[in-house]
Amino acid sequence: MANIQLITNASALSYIEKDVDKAIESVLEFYDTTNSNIDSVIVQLQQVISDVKETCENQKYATAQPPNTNEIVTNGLRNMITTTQCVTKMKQSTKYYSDKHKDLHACISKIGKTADKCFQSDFGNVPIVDIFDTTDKLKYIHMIICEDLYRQGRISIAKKLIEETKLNDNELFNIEQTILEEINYILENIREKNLQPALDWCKRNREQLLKTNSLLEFHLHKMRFLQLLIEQNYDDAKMYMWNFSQYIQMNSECEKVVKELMGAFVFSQRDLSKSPYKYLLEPHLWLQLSDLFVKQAFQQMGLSQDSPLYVVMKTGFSALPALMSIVNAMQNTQVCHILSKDELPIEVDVGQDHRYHSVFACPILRQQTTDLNPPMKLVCGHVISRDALVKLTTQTKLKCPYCPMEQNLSDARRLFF
Amino acid sequence: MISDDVGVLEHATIKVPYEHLNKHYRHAQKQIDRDSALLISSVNDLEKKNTFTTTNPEATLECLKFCLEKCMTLKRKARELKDDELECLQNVKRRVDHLKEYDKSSLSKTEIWRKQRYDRVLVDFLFRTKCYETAIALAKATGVQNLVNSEVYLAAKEIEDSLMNRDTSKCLAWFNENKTKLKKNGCTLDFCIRLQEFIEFIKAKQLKEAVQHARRHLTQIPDNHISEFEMAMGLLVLRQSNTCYQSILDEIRWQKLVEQFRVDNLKLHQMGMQSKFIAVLQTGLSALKTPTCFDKVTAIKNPNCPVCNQHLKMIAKILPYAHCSVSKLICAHNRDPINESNPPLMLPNGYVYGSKALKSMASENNGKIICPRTNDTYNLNQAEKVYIM
Repeated sequence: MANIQLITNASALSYIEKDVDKAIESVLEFYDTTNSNIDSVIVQLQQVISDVKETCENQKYATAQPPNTNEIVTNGLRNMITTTQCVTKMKQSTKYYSDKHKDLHACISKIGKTADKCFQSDFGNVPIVDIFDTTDKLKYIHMIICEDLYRQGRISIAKKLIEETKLNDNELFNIEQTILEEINYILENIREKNLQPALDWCKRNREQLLKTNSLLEFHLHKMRFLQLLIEQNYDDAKMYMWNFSQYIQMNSECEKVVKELMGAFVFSQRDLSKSPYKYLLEPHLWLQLSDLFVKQAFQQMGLSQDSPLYVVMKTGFSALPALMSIVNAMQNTQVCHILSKDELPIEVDVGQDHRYHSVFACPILRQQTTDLNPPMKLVCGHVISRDALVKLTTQTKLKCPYCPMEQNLSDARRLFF
Repeated sequence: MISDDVGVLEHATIKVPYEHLNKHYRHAQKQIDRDSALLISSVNDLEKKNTFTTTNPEATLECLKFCLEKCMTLKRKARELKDDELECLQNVKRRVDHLKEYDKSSLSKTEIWRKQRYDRVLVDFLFRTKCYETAIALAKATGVQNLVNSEVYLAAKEIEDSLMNRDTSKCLAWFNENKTKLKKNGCTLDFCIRLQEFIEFIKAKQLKEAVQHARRHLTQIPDNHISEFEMAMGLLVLRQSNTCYQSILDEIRWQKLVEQFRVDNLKLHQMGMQSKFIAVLQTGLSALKTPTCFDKVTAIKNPNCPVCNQHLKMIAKILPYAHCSVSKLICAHNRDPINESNPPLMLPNGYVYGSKALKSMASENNGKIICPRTNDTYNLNQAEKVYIM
């Protein structure tokens, strides 16, 4: 499935690309032709002008001398003919200029048409609650954006946002300004590929790092080592290897990475970017590194490791296409409107990493349990929702839907996941 | 139609520079027609004079020189137009190239592209909610300037500001510049602005000017504005104190004009009426929203859950829950998934944990288990098996 999408996506884009290239080509050709037309007109004009000028001068001269009428007439006629040629040519060129430019419209509008064919112009029937009309909701969004900017190490932009939206700092997450500034300083430096402040931070927070088994420091060392290799500073790199020795025993994952780094060390004296270890140079590793630092720093303060906004957006980006196609299909079959539902019409796989709470779906009623309809354990150990339990009960007795055990309604226990 | 995240979200990415190109193309055509007409008229002149070339070559010479001059101008202008149109085309191409960089076969490229998409969707939202400085600063810091249409937003801001200052000239100029397209979109902003100008004359008690203004500008009334128009005309006779007419005198009408302008401008530039950020945010929140996020009784605090975030919770409140037909349990103690290899066990108080967590707790604590949520103490053998179907 993913493969099919990949192909259609790439081919749709290549259609548009072809259209754009075609348009560029046509525009270039049009203006080149126009230009050479005009140039030849200009040359011809200049020729005629110099001829006519000569004739004029001859005439002036001729007034003093007895005129050679014959010559004057021939010259005049010749000028007349060449001028007429010029006129025709100018008319032709101008017509070409104006007409052919009109023709370009076809290939330009083709781009727009292909784009309309390949992309969806709006979110179809996916209900989008407009939150611009309520200022308090907008305020919440601006606050979460502001917090996200802090997490990204963009403190000055966050402050701009506070200023522009007149947010109240106090309502933002409860972190001392000095700590935010420290985090920001470290992130700014990582962006500039300077790892020292982050390494210093790790030293100051060693205890916490050990407590959470964090590999942040290891990954910082790894990046520093790679930097030394890129700088071709092999002596320092050799010394730097000692930093890894403590990790090798600690963690098998680290051991694997260290082996790769040693491999890279060998290749680096030729060209690392052409070696089998070139993946160690990929730019997203820097993104991951600052992510890892932010995770650690915020986890230590008892806050969410990942930026809540980024997680939500990431999930939204991957879920929206499926949701749109199902909602559009439902609209076609005139199934009831999705807005009235209190659940999404399809299951979205958010992945284990983003499962934050247990969800118990009653196997009988296929509904998620809530405080009002909690999960209940039967005597035999099977779990169903209270609504299902009530439905299965006749008077006070019920039979478990999964095993033959008969039991009393009152023996069922409420569970907390 | 592409049905993946590019097909669903990137319409405006291509269409905005395309509309820009289209506008410049049409502008070029007008310019070309004008330049051609000028040249043709001097060519016609030359043609007339040419019949007398034999007797009056000076006149022909003058015309020839004039034609040459016009040709030179035309050549220069053609070069300008060429550069302009090519520049617009290159802008479209750059956007296509950017979308092509989303190469799902390379993890590194995908990750960086997605981060950039996040940044530009965020910048777009900031522009739409009038945080211009933040938007510009973020676009610059994240290197997405060429992908966020900031020129369009900033040009619109100027018009919006002037409208808020009761200055209609910029907005009317914008309307005239894009008249054909706007009329095609059913835009009635010109009428609304002229009507507002009329109302302002009344407010200033300049009745004569008001009538003159109406005669000149309010000749064509769009169908859906007739009652509004009649009400405004009523002002000519009735005194302003009449309460029925307060709505039409209200200053909030200027705010409404600004909003109307925003909508028409978004439509004009094919920017998409709804913010991508909002659509994606809502989808994401829904996909992550579980009943537990809003449970008061058993709520297990998970600081990592974005829906439980104090700000996002307020937005998620009104959205639908994620759909879940098969139970997905995670251990409330160590957040490991509960499944066949980590089966669920219930303590006598009804709280369920994964067996791994309970076993490791018991081994660290002489076989005793302290329920992390109620602090009750039990023995491991008191834990009962439960079956989740």
